[in-house]
Amino acid sequence: MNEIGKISASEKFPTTVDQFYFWLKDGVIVRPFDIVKIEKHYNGSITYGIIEDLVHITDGTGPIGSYVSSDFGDVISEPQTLRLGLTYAKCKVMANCSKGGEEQIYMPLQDGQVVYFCSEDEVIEALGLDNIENPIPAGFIEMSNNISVPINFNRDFVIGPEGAHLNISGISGLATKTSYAMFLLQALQQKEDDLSIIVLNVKGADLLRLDEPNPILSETQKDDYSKAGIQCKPFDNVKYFYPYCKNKERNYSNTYLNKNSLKQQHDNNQALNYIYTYENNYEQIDLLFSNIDDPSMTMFSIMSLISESDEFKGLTWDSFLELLDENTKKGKNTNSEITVQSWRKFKRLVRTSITNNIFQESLGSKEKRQVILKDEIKKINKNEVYTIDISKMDEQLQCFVFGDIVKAVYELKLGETDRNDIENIPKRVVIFVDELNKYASSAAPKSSPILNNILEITERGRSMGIILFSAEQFKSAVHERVKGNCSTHAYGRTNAIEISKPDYRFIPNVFTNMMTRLGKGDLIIEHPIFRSLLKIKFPFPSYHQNNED
Amino acid sequence: MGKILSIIEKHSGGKCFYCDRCSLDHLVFQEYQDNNEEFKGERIFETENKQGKNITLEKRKVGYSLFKYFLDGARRTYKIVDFATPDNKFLPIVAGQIATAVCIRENKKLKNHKINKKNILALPDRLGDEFDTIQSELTSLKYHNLTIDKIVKYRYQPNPDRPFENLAIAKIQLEMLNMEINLISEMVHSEMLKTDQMLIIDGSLQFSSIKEENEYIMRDVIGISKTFNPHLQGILKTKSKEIGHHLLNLKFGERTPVYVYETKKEKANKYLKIGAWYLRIREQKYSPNPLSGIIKVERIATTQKEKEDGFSTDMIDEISSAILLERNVTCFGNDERWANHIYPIYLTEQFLKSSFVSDQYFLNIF
Repeated sequence: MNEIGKISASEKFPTTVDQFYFWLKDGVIVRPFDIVKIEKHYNGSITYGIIEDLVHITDGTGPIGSYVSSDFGDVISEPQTLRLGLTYAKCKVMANCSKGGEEQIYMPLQDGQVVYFCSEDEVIEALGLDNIENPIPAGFIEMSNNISVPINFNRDFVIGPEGAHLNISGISGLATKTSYAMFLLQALQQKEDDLSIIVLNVKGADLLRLDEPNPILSETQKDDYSKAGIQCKPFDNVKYFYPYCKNKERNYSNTYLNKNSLKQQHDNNQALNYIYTYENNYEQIDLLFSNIDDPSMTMFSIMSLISESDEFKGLTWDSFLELLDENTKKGKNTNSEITVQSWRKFKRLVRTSITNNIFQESLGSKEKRQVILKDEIKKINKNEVYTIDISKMDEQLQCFVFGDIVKAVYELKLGETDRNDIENIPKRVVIFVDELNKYASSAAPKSSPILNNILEITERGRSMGIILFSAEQFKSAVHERVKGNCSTHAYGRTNAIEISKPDYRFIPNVFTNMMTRLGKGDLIIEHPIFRSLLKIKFPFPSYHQNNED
Repeated sequence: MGKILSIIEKHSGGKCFYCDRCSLDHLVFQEYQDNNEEFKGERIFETENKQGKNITLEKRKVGYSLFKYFLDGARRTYKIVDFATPDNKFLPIVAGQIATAVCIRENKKLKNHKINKKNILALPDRLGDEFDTIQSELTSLKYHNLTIDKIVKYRYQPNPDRPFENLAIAKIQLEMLNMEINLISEMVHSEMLKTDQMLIIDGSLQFSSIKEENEYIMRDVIGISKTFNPHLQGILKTKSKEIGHHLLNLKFGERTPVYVYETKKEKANKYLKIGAWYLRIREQKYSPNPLSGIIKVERIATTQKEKEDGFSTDMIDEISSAILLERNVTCFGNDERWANHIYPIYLTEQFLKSSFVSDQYFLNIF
């Protein structure tokens, strides 16, 4: 059998309802997050535990004893007898299971009981995954006894109705946040019929070839998908939306994507270029001020005036700027409650953005393949994936576009649409956004419209079918209410400063310390139905990640 | 009065009186084991080094060990009652737990090889003919899962030079030594001991009960004493010079020549020849007192050649170098005798001590 040690209960280290210690047999290798079992507990039940920490002790009294035992400081000397020592594991009790399905027993484990590795089925029983309804693959846990156990989320706690929203945090380049989110989205697309996905591409061309298979996947990596219960394939029904630019050579798309792939997407009718016209989008100008502090609400006042006043209706972007210009001159200001200085500030902030090519007076020729983004969003069907590229924009414009998308989805789910094909409207829309700290920062002004939209989604989106998958480098930089409403959290590699923040205080130290050592592709996940935090791996992306031709 | 003491009273006619039951190991002064050794100072008991000079050994840091087995014996003794004998004597009854264990070292890790335990009761020899009856009844009793395995008699002497408790303890100690010999004998007969798989015994080789034909079992055995009497005279050529004075000049990695003493065997007109030498295994500058770090090593001469010529100097050097190699790791911080202790013996000792039942548990059977 796989006996690996024995329970040790002593005065200083007692076993309790929640935890126990066991010493390891010589030569046994285990690691944190391994799941172990103790048989023949009360009434013949089995208790499962997860290793939280490993400690090696000897009968040495301290560094001085060790120094003395090395010929008073000789590094080369070798002992003839190794010091009496052992490694013991600190474990958290996960569950107690009996064959007859009787009630769990909470009695502490007894001293001297033998501890074993678990088999795959036992791991699943320990984690409570044997009866998951509507499973969604979440990755694998790998244990020291060379078993790899697929782990599933309960769909109802990922996309509702019981719980919703996912947040992933970790250092860029190491935490594989985007890859994990895309793996989950791939699983959702394959498992769910009435769900659509909106993805924002914020960096390079990372997410601009979702419909193309990954050419460098090995057979082993493909097998991981079979183990997870899904097919290894790229996304289906993908459309790409690029910010418009005047470059015909690049199909009028302002993107990092290579020329050939871009052309192919346009030729296949998969790609469109989005613009913003005054007529359709003037009321959304407030989204440009999402991260501007406005304590005296002057920007808010100006926006209110713009949206209510007839003076600002029926303009173009150019005439709008001219009107703003007039209000910045002394004596010409038509509203005495708003000062000239405020108008000047407003104009300065708006002008910087409006000069971008995405702000056009009207939709252009068919060749330019221009669309109004919010109108397209509202046309999304079940099982479709929309990728909106914002990587080549400044931060202010990125907020603007994101806010526009969120608002459009909101309106779609609230029924504010002229669509007749109600049956094709997806029951759930999952929005994936990276760098959430830009849009929902813990330091964002309370008046930020984007923050308010995101709060709406995370606090009430579950019932409406709007789900947010988000990622950021530092969880501590994200607004409390946003991350607090996520039912599933994934932690990738991070640094020591981050884990000292209050967000991590409920996580046992051994897990937070491990977060500073996680390898690429390793994540620690927290999900409502899991009895403990778990360290998982997940399959390599099945879509094309490279931007080369 | 407990059943055991009732049986003693019934058959002896004496009376037991409860006293302050206590462990004797801390109260009774532990004499030096080598107090009675009479050395033949004029003789160096090795084939070379007849001039009797201290020898400097190679201070190896890595190497192959000659020692695979480590034996230790331990005892816990208690005064149970004061006993008023039928012939008007007032003597203690002493009980003890004794244990001997051998640990084996494999791949630098120590494991238990064998452990033997016994519970002994020491009675004064003033019980007349009833001793056998008492012994027979007591050894058949089981009390709280414990048994009295043997009853021994200690000899009453009027006005002894030491407490009667010491006399009783000496008898119990003898039982322990016999257990050690039996263990060694078993190992030899199982062909476990070899010249490169030797046994170290903790303490002096005071096995006066070994029969001559069985001396060979001690061939691959050495004894290492952590404590020794520094006031012994007659070891050196200057008979009045105490050995402690001589050892002050012994440097780290040096050994003295091999000296010899004889012990008279029990019930025989023959003598065991035991070669003893001193070895410093720790640097003086780190030792808590001048003689810390010096151990006394003993080996019994088992062949006629050894008895006549002494031990081979090369062999003694090899054994001493191997002992020197055992200086690391130490039990520094855990045992105040760390400078004179070698770690595998320390571990064997710890293992032995953990096998005893608690004092309260043991005393409650009386």
